[in-house]
Amino acid sequence: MIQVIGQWLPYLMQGAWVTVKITLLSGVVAMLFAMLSGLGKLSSLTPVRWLASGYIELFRAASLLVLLFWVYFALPIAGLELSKTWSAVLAIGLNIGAYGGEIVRSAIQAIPKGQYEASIALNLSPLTRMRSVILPQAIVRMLPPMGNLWIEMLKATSLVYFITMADLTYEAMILRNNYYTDTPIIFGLLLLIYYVLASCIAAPVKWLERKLTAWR
Amino acid sequence: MEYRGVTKSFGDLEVIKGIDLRLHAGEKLAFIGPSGSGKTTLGRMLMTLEQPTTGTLTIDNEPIWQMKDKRGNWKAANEAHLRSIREKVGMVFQHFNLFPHLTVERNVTLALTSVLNLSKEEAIGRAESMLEKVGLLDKLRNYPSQLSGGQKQRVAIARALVMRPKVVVFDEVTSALDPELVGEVLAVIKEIAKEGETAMMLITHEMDFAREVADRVIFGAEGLIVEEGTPEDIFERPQSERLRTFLSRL
Amino acid sequence: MWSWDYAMDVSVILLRALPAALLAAACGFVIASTVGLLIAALIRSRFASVRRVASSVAHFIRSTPLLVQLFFLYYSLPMLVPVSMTAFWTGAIGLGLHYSTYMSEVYRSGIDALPKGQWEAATALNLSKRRTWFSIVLPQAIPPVLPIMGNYLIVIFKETPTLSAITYVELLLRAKNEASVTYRVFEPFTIVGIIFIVCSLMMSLLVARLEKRWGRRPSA
Repeated sequence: MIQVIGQWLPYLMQGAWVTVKITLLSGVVAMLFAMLSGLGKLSSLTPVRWLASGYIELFRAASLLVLLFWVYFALPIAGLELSKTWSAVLAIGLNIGAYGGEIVRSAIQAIPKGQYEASIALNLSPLTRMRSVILPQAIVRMLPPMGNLWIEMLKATSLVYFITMADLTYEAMILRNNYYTDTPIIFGLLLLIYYVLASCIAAPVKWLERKLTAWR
Repeated sequence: MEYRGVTKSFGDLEVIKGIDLRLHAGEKLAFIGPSGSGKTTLGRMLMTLEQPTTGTLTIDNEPIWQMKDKRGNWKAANEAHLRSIREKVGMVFQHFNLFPHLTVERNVTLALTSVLNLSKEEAIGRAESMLEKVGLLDKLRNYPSQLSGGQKQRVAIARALVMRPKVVVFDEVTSALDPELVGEVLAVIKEIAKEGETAMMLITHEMDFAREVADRVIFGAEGLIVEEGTPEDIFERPQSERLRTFLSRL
Repeated sequence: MWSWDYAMDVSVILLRALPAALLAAACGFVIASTVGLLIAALIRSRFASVRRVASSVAHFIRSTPLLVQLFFLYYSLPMLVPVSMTAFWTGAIGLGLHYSTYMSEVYRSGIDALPKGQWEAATALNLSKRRTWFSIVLPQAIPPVLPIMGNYLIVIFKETPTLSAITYVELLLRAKNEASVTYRVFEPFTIVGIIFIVCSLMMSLLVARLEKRWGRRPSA
């Protein structure tokens, strides 16, 4: 048995690398859109606010898998052909980014009013107010929900199986074709690997949280 | 600094019903009165945290909420104008509002480096001498959460005064403190008041303190100034029935 | 690239698949609500071992993808135990189990929001455990979290396309089948996307109204 698993591992590792890559790339897109839309929703400019809440509402209402299909299969008809990787990164990043936008907004809104007032009283510029006073405190509040969001993102990458990207899930399905009788073990192993990957996200988030809250 | 015909409403509620008031350079003005009399709102208006509904507020004859455009017409103040006003005003809050994620030193130097563009060394030097004045030089590296309420408020006082504003609003700075910590904060304010350069607007419930520090005391109730005069006038020879009732209830 | 005639035809076909998606979501939601409550109760058990096992299992389910769980249930469970489920029931149970772990957190937030005095009063009245839960705790803990539960119904609905992986014909698989016959992909996939967005927005409007009626909302 051990030997057979040893034969599987190289394939699974290859798939895991694709999964990790998609997670990280989508993560960058998602965090960028989360910041932009979260801050945009609090902007004093009405059009910016509308744009940000329009994005958040639309992409939270969309079904991720359908979005992925649309980006990969339908968008090329409209003239925009993206590689599998970029289709996946764009669909997952935009979808998760909308949830992240709400996290950013609520973390910033949770900063007590007194902090704004004190920074006005000290005559800090709006930029310094945000950068030195509000964001450092808001980021600490964002960390736990953002950590969970990254785990959601990791799980969401399994959907790239549908557009035949050779991620962890896809590799496991191919193994299953070759080792049909071992199906339960393959899927069990697959679940375990995802669990380990999720723990790899949770641990540094916990560490960062402790580090950033030294002042509490 | 001058308030002329200032009123302020929050929705249907009129909290300031018409105030005319002058504060001279270096003057220490104490504001007393029952809660809900609009004292805090007056201070917050000076700090540009609230905009008066009607009337004008000026500092050095310059309106806070209006400015002249290129052609010399009055228009609503923009952020740049407000920021030039805020250079002259500082505020100490009831609930300290220290920045919890910054050390004591950084709390005090933040505005020095980012607003006044002082070098790090200069800023730290000024912060240290200010913190020495409030007796907290040994807490430089601590975070606010490691300080007592009285120490926090003393840091907040240092943070406001280090900017060398012309006037500082002290908004019920001892109301959120345990009784045994009130003394240390008041002592620091008295000390600074003696130096005399900075004008102070002391919104307070501490009558003995008002009497000792203030040049002039104002008694306000329900959004109006009821009585004003020297501490002796107000505390020894109250004229109005309201003030007498207020003082007798303490 | 866009043909209105075809779009109309395919809309009708796709909307006929909507009940299948809604049914799977509804069954998944009922299972998630029930199992979630069970998990929430187990996590408050008197026995440390029960608490530990319940929260580890919930944590494991929460940390792994629904898609893989569906594959496990559909393809390998029949090889381990002598049961075989239809794609529909595998999908509903998969959705239900996966989201039960989220639902247990929702219940927990509702239960935690209950003042300690309520438990103490129940003890003082010498109520049984069962009586305490069903007469005192749940009637107070659930109404405030109903809107959050409603939001999870929407989340579950949006996850139903994943069931296409185990051959359950819902909206996405229907669109895929259509596309493979007509060789037109733009209209079917766009319309499926729009159907999901419209349905989710309508459901969230309903939840928002529910929220207004129930007022208070503790954070999840």
